[in-house]
Amino acid sequence: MIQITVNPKSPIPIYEQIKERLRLLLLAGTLAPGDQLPSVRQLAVQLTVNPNTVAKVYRELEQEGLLANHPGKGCFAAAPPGGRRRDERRALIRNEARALAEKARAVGLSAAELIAIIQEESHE
Amino acid sequence: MSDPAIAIDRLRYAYRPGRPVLRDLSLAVPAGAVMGFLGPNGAGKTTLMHLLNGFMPPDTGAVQVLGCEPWRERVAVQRRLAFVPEHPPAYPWLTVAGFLAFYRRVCPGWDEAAAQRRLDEAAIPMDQPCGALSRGQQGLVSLAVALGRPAEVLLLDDPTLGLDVLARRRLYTAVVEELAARAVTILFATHLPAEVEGVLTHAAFVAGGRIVAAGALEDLKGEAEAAGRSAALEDIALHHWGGDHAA
Repeated sequence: MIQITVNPKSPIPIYEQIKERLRLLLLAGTLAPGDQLPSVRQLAVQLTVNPNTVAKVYRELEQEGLLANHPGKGCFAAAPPGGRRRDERRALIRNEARALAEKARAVGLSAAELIAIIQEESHE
Repeated sequence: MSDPAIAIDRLRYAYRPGRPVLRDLSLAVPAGAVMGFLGPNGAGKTTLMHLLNGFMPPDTGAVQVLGCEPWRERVAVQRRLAFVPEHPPAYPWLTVAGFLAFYRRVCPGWDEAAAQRRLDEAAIPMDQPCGALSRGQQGLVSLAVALGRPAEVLLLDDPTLGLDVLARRRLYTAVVEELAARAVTILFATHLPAEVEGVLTHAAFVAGGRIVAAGALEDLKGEAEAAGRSAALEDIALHHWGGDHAA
């Protein structure tokens, strides 16, 4: 079973939670190229979400080239063209960094202090 | 846009004169939507369900299900609608097998295998009287029977009331599987928004006998975010239930 959960108390739409989690699993290689993903129905039942929501996530990840859908066989992690994953990993972290930078500003931390915190945490 | 599966226009209903439970309630449920009908206890959720079933006529205003008036065209509506009531099932002395046999006789297009599969999954004893089952088992029998009918509209009246977490999960799973299998419009009355959020495409918040907010889930979340409020469905519900709208 794929390691993924949704948090209904989160303000982040469930659709985005699933998409981001799957993207992470795909970019990190936890789901390696060629690995089969659960069917739309299986994942919908596992997460108790509308099957249309899962289908939409799969469709969009397929458009991004992270998934390959083989009708009748199922959905598989796609093999990306070389070099692209690093960009995507950076883009993923960049989104988080933007939110973090906003928070740091809100509580009155300088960019240097924020970087220092990230460095401390990275060394752990 | 296609016609809504359920259309309610300025509906008013009172059990006692001068004390309306529903007042000026308008709502459209798009075909294929899974709409949460979210209201605190006593908001009029069950009353609306009964009006949609045609159990009684509205005082004023109009109710349409699949283009028919439930009160005037009750048989036509009942053929295309399945209802999971709050207090299931109707005949406590009937065995589960007897309950299925009843539906087999009265429902055109009855899918016994679909109903039986749900009952087997939940390990419901077929030879027991419905009244001897636990509250959770009774709810699952009601749902199994509703899913055995080829209904285009499914009404769920707070079916998780009094169910433990396992029974609730079974019920939600059954709804998800039904959605995966076919197109059906669902109106899901509940007082637990967080649990059903993932299944919903739309939500309507009811308070004081009126709809205080309704729409596609993403729009409702967008509005909450734009107003600087939490976009979690439960928080949106609390905002609307406790807001200035409550009568």
